[in-house]
Amino acid sequence: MPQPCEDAGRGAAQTRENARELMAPASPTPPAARRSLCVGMATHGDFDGVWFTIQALRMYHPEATDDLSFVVVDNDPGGATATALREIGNWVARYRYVPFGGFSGTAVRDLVFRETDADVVCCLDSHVLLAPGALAALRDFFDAHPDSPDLVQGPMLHDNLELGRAVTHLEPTWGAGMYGQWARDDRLDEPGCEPFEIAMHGLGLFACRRGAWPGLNPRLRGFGAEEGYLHELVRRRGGRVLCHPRIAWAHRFSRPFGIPYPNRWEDRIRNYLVAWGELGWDVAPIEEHYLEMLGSQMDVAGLVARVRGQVEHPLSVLDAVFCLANGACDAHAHPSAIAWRVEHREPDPALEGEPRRLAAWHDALVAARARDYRHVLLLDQESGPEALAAIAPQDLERPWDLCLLTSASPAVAPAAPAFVTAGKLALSGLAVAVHAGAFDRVLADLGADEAGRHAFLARWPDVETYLLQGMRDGLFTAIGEPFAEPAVDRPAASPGLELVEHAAGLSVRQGSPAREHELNNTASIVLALCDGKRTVAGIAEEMAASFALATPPLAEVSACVSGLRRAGILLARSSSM
Amino acid sequence: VTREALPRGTATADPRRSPTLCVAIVTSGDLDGVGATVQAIRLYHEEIAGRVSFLVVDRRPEGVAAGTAEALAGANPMLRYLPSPGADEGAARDLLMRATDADIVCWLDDRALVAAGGLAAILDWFRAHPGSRDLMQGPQLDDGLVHGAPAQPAPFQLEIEQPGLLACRRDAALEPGAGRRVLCHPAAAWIKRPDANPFACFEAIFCLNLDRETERWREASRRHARLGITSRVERFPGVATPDNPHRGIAVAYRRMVAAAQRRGYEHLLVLEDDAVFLDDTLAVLASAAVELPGHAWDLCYLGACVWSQAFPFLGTSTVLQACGPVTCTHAIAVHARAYDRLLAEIPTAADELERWLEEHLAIDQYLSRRIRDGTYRAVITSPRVASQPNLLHFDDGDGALAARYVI
Repeated sequence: MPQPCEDAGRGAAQTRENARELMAPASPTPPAARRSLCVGMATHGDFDGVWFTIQALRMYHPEATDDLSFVVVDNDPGGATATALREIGNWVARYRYVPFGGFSGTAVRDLVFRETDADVVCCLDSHVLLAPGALAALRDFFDAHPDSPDLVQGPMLHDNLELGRAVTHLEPTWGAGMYGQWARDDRLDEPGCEPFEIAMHGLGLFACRRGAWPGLNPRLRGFGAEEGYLHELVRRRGGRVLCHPRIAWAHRFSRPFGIPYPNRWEDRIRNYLVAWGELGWDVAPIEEHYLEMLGSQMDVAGLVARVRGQVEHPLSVLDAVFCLANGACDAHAHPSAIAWRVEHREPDPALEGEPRRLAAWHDALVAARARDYRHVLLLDQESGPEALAAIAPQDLERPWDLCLLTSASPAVAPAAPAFVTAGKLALSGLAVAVHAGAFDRVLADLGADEAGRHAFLARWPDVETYLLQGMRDGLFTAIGEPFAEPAVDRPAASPGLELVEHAAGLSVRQGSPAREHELNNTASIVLALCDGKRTVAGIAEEMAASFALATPPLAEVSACVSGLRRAGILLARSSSM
Repeated sequence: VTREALPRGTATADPRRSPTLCVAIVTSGDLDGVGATVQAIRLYHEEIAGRVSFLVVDRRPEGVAAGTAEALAGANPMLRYLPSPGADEGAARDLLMRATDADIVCWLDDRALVAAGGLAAILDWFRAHPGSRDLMQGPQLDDGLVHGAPAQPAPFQLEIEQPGLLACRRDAALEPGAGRRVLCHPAAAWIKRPDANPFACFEAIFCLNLDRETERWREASRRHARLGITSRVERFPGVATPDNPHRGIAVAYRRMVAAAQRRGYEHLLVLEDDAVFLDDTLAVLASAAVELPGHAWDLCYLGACVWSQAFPFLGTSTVLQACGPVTCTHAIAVHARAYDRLLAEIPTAADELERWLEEHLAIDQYLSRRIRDGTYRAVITSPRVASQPNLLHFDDGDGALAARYVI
């Protein structure tokens, strides 16, 4: 039955009363978890600067340092202050010391982002002091923009510490050997100024979400070239470069005793070529600037040509070159094509023999994966390839897991019986590059600890056997000189060979130079098939047919052909073609 | 009551006027630390901006790169840089007092950070106590930013004066100290940057180098840089005596010891410009630095020609040995305990020096003889972290470790 109007009116009034109650301000929900923040620094043994920066943050920014963590990458880990830098962790919570001597340069700051798990990373030069409230402003920005792809910077105070004379950005012009000249944006003077977009800035302070970090080109060495380059990388990933007016910072007072690391024009020019080349920018202004600035003092054209040769060398297509040799690595012992960028990674000295090698490989691949490298060339010796012969750039764009390259000075010279299908000798003289696509698999198989290495060695005697078996079983797609154009490579025996058959294979005698080789049955069959008409692929197919193999043993045949060529039993490839 | 009827009195300081503060820093060439200390005060103590000035007395301006001092002062018009080579602590303070007209002077370590509000708290206290002759200090924080002072807001009295941060009225600083209190203001906490380099265990380092030997100095500087001691090493000009180099060396050693005594150094490390160093010098010296204060030494050899002698380790030490008679002087630290005797026994007069040379031949022979007769208590590092090129070729020298002297 319908209610009387009066009641209806009362009911409506009641509803409004209720509504008022329902619409009373709700208690706020707890704020989203605060973004964790890491302040990171890459230093070259500058304990004094690191100490001042960290302690100033802790003393003068208490509102923003509750859960602040620190990462310090020490690029002079054998230096006078390494111990003191490490021991900062004794009195600063959430402090991580990362010694890194693999190579030297300002791009080492890339490691700051790899060595922290914080949501937001603020990378500082050591000895930078932040204006009061700057760290809180930084946190507030990223709390308010939790998915920001932006790179956040702030006004740089000169030694006079006056915000009214601070610089906000770098203009994209050349000066004094640097791309970028200090400038000030008038927007900083506006009342209530909000963060505004800038083209580029000095890198004494910059911050971004760790997930938005674009990474720096792994070929950068020595000082410079990141300004402008990093900013463009951020923009190409959809981010902005911002100058936040409340994140002012003061750079260290001028260093009375100079910088302790080399600051060479050669490095700087090469870095610009690397960075700008990656971006596809016109590199002509680089040479023009250095010619104008240094032309009267040095052969700039020659210097540019030399570093351009390094940058554009075919081997430079590989993201990184790690030397895993025991003891100190003499970069000069590596071929010049790679010497300028070899990173030495010291194997665990507590281990010996193959376990040490496995650990070195594991450590190297973990580092390569953490740094998002696309591929890494691993050298067990102070040697390495001099060329990327027989591999076209497009080959590297196709899917591959392993790339085998002839090393300039093979660690183990092929010796009889050399051409076995497993074990060290089959890959002797070859350096191995591993593609990022294979990092996880190889790392899982190598084992991260003693138990893992033990399990590995129970299955395979060494890394080479493991890799070869993986190639044979189709787990790894291999490219490289042994497999170069296997469909057109038609190997042929050298003239004047004397072949003597015996039960285990063949004895091969050469006249000049006088040598005798003992080949096992497999190598003997391969040699017999190398008639200058069959291709390497064809030989592999014939082998598969003869021995009822599921897949042609292309990797093994290629390796065998390569070894027979090195021994002089087969004609060199150019001769046979 | 008319205006004229008011009694006339002498003017007194306006208690509402904030006193001015001079932060006075005495350094021995560490302008890097001074720069950070000053900049931190300017950046984080904004409430005293306009009331603070800085005075920097540099007792070792010789080692400072050209332009650094000017840049320091140029960036801050309220800062004065006063080079005062070789000034001892008293002379430096005297210089500071004469150079400022601030109401309050606060001596501060040359590599310190003062807690936010700390300097303002000191000024406030002196404003509230305009006639005070007291000394005001602050508790020193450890690296964890913790101090052991009582948790109370008001200043409390200390038994003795501490180094680091010390403030007082300028006019009171010039008065005799008797009767004044030493107070500690909890708000004025401060922290001092530790010295990370183990060579800091020696208060000063001189490197002996003849003026004409510029290439040797360049090489020595390169080695100092690798050891991280560039800023600590003061080049000390050698004395060229071509007819008898031993005379020049003896004269120079005496001058260095005299300078160390005059400047009040507790110990002095003397390096010769051809000293080379072991690959793990810093690690060995770091251990030695911990142990040295526990021994009563007069001479500490970082290297020497030991003539195949083997020395016993000191107690449980693994890096310090009791040193017997040795020769060479390429790396010896001298403790203040030995200054008087050295200065007394190495003559200055030419004829006396000639007789001394006839008796001892050279400074290293003299030291060796005095170690043998027990006059000087000598210690030596093991391994010997410093050597000389000529010692690397001899088995009874440093031949055994020759390949490791790579610095």
